[in-house]
Parts: sequence; C-alpha cells; structure tokens
Amino acid sequence: MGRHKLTTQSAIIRRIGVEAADIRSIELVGADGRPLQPFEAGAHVDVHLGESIIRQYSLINTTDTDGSYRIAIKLEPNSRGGSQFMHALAEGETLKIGLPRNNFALHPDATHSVLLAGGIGITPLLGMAYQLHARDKSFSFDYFARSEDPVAFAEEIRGTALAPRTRFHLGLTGEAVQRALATRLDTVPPNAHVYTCGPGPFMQAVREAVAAKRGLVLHLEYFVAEPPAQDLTAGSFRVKLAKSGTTIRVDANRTIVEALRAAGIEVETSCEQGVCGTCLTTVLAGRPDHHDVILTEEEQKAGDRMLLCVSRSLDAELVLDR
Amino acid sequence: MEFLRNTWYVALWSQDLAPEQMVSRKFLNEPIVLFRQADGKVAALADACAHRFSPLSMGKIVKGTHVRCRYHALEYDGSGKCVFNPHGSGRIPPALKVRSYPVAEKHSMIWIWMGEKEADPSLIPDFSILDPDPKKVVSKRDWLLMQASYELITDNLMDLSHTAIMHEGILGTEHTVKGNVTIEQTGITVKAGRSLKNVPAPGLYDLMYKNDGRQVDFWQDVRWDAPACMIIDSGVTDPGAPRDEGSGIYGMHFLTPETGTTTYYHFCAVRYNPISWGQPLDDEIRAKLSDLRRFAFEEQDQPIIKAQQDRIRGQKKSEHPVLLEIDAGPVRYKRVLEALIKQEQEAATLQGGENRAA
Repeated sequence: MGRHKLTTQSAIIRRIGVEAADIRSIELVGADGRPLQPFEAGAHVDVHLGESIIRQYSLINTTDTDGSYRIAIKLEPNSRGGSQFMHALAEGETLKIGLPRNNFALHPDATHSVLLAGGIGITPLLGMAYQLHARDKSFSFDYFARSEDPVAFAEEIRGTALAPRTRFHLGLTGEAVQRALATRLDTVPPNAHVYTCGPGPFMQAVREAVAAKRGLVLHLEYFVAEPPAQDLTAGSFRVKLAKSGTTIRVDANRTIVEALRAAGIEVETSCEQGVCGTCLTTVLAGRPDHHDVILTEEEQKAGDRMLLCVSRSLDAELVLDR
Repeated sequence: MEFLRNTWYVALWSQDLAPEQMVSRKFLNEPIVLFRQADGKVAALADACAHRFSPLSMGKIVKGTHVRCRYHALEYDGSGKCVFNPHGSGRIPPALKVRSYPVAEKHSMIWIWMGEKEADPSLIPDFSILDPDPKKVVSKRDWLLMQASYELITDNLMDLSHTAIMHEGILGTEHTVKGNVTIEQTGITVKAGRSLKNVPAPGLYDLMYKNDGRQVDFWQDVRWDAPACMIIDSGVTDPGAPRDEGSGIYGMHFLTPETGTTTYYHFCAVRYNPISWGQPLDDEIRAKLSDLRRFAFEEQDQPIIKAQQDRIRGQKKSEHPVLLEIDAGPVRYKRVLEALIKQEQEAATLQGGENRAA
C-alpha cells in the first residue's frame, strides 16, 4: 500500500526484425535496465506514438524469457499513420508504453487449447503457443495465411519445438478454410477452449465452425486496435440517421438520446442507464464507444449495435440504422 | 413458463437421501420419485406406475434395488423397467416401464438431468467448494420450497443491493446501499460484483470477523451458471487490506423449479478464513450462520418475492419493469438463459422436422 502505481513504462527498442515484406517485429526492453512488467500470453500493451495517439499491440513472446516484450506491426498504407510510424522506428529508440493488459488470457483450467490464427492475428496466438508448450499443456496450433509468399514467423516456428504442433494452411479459398476449421474441430475434445485472432471474415468462419460443435468455449481477440475511449468520450461527434438522412451533432455534455430528442426525434427508452436494452440500435458505420452493461464484451467489440442512452462514438461520425 | 431442459438441476442434498429411502418431488412440473438403492446408487423415475398411474413414491423399496407399487405390487428397477409382475402368468409387457432420469452425485449433491439429450456429468459447474472435507466449516446443507419462480429468486440473488435493505442488520446496513457494481461474462458464466469501502461490518459478517462493530471493506461477488446455480463470495476485511486477510463465506444457492411459480431452493454457506473463538463459540457461530441465512431467505426474501409474483401475474403483458444500474447482473444472466432456452427449442424443432421428413 502507498506504493506509487505505475501506468506507463519506458522501453528501448533492442531489435527490429523483418518478418515479412510488410511485417516488422520489435523487441523492447526496460529503459532502466530492469525487466518490463510481467504478463501472461494473450496480453497487449498500449504504445504511445506521440502525445495523443495510442496503438495497441499483442505481445508475442512469453513472460518466462527475459523481461522483454516482442510485438509485430503490419504496415497498412491506408491507415491513419500508426503502422507507418512504427515501421519508421530504429533500434535504440525509446518508446513510452503502457502496462500489459489481457482480455484474451488462456483459461487456466482448459484441458485442451485450440489456437486458430489468421494472418497478422498470429501475434497473440504465437505467445500462447510458446506458453502452452513451455508449460507442457495439450494444444494444437493452426496458422492460416493468404499466400506462399514469405509468411510472418513461419521460419521461426519451423525452427522451434512448436514445429511439430503447428499446421500451416496457406493460400486457401474461403471454403477450404471452412473445411480445414471443421476438420480441426472434429478432432478436439468436446470441452476444449478455442482461441482465435485474425481478419473479420476469418474470425466469422471460426465462430460458425465453433457454433456447429457443442461444448467448445470460444475466445476472440480483435486486432483492430481502438484508441483509448477517454480521449474521445469528452468530445462531440455526429450521428447520421440512415433512414431519414438527417445528421445530428452530439455535444460532449449530451447523450445521443438527448441530442436526438432536442432535434425532435423520439427514441424509446426506459432505464437510460445502459441496462435494459430498450434503445438498442444497429450501427451501420463508425465505431461506438460502449458504456452499457448489457452487451457482452464480444458484442461490444463487434461494434454493430449500441445503446443510445449511454454509449458514444470513437469516430467523428456514427451512422445508425434509424 | 419455458424451462431449460438439457441441463443439470440440483435434486437433493446427498445427505437427504439415505440407502433404501424414497423422496417424491416435482421438477419442471414433472412428478419424480428419487430413491437410493442399498448399494448407494441413486435413481430417479417418473412418479407414476405405468399400469394405473398411481404414484410409485407411495410404495416401498424392496430387495434393496426395486420400487414396488403400492397398488398392484409391480416392481421397477433403477432404469425404470418393470422387472416383476406378481399377477397371472407374470408376463411383463415391454411397454411396462416408466421414464428414468439421469442422475449424478457430485459436490455433495444429487443432480438430475431433465432433457432428452445425452446427460454429460462433466457439464456440472464446478462447486468443489462443497466437496466433503472435515476441515471446512460448513453451515447446514438446508433447503426450502419457495413460493416464487426461480427467475424472480435469481433476480434477487443477482442484484445484491437488496441485502442492504431487506436484510438490514444481518447481511447489509444503511451504509451498504450504494455499492460499486461490476459485471463480467466468460462464456455462459456471469459474474456480478459489488463492493464498498470503509463501512461498518453488517451483523453476520461482524459476527464471523472480529465481532467489534469496526469499519471494514465489504464485498459480495456472485457467480451464476445455468440454469440457476450461484456462488456468492462475500466477506469483509480491514479497510484497505487484501481480501484474503479478511473472513467471509461462499454462499451456495441452487434453484430448481418445482413449477413455474414454486422453487426448490437448496443453500448452505462455506466459511473461508474462519476465525476460531474456541468451543462452544465456534459451534454457536456456525448454528447462527445457518439460522440467520435461512431466516433471511424464508422470512425476508420469500414474502416480498411471492407478493411481487402475485402482482406481476395480474399485469398486462405490455408492462415492463423500469430497470436501474443495480440490474446489470439480472439482465446479463437472463440474456444467457433466454438464449440457451431458445437454442434448445430451435434444436428440438429442427429435430422434429427431420423426423417427420424421414
């Protein structure tokens, strides 16, 4: 008690690796020579890119190694600049990073774990594979990637003890992916835990494959990192109503419901505290900033529905199906 | 009312069914006779003889393994098959059998599977806290037949803000009304937490902790698993101190619908970090823990929930409750339960469709 609570850490880039044409890995060590804060596989950290931009990256290594962090960044030419910033860094530079957070931890009591990675979604799952292997747990590891071109971490995996546990699925069509998923899930024990991360359509295929089996527990990690909510909740944004085409401005001190009502648009509500679900609305575009307690974490991450009484927007504009 | 069927319900505490004893119950509106054979195995059968439908539970256990009907002395084994007919040729028509329900004995309870799908005992949620262990301090493994639906009782247990009001003095005080509510869902397990800092210890917790009325940090965390099995981890510790330095109880709550409006409520509490005051005080505290909790559920919760149920029955369908922040727990478990029931019914419809097509 009374100990100073750290919220950020200072880290130095120890090594930068080229994992594929557009993917770089970065190894970070504590700037003061001490180990970085420990974590469990599946964790991610905030990386501060300047004063107000924060991106989140999964940790690829395991904490059992040497107190370093390893992350990987795919260059997205059309992104808002986070990946370009990360790709421009050099060894020896210092970065401000957050404490590891974990919404995607391995279940401690799982008797068997199934790891399904799609593309750059490999990052959290690679750390999980290392950890499961180090702890001598039962697991399988399937890595789906688009083509035969150099696949990130493939060389690394082939050179480690993970090689015999890993199955590569390269350049498959959507249907072939579905078949491969079904085949994999047919061979796992009925109460296995399934972990997946990858592009939206891949995760949807995993969801469907898991839903077709009884008893499996699914854990999803979305790698589209959201900027931290607190930066934007304070701000105002626009809400566009798709059916009428009307656009309403929501000021920082108003809820969406209040702003709509002020514009003469009635919204049915009851609790107005994000509990009852009466004002649940489909989101057509933009990312909601959820403040309700009714949607599960997965539903909130999916971002296709929101409670207008308490939730806000991470983007400048939300388009609602109203 | 719709029930989840392919799931494990608590039927009885194991201790409440002795060898060669029979107990008659109704679960999900279905009359059932549970009996324990001489070798300890438990069986559950539809409580109506296939011959003339007289309740088997009015008969007796014979030969250590069979239930004999009181009316014509037909005997059934644990699988529900008639195995002895004292009349005429003694022939037993193949149709002379009653439904047998899968049962499992785990964590000191007898569980019953009410659905048609294959029963898998590994689906019973983890209640190993209740496994027999002479070192544990456990209150009476008790039960009530509550005059209220299991859903309204679950609503009550998933929103523990009511403890400050309905159980004032025992489980809460005027200082524990405004709790900080958290919600968490892992798969189909829902957890709702509530905590307060630096408040006077409510009566029962004070009794278990330092018995001096001092200020404490207080928490009540409930875990829900389908269909209506809950553990409430509640306790107190010195302000600012870690929870494991305090003392508290795991309150175990198992609800099994008898009908849509009545519920078998099995409960007990397992102490953690019990503080010993020596005998006879320890036994007195344990007895008080049993008595006060039963009093809270039977005399305090039951009348209000039953009255609430009567009021709801008289209402128009269009009237919905106006919810508050404290309802996060009830809302979340209900979403999971409704989805499970819907899934089960859709699967059943699909199955029916296929059968017709065949």
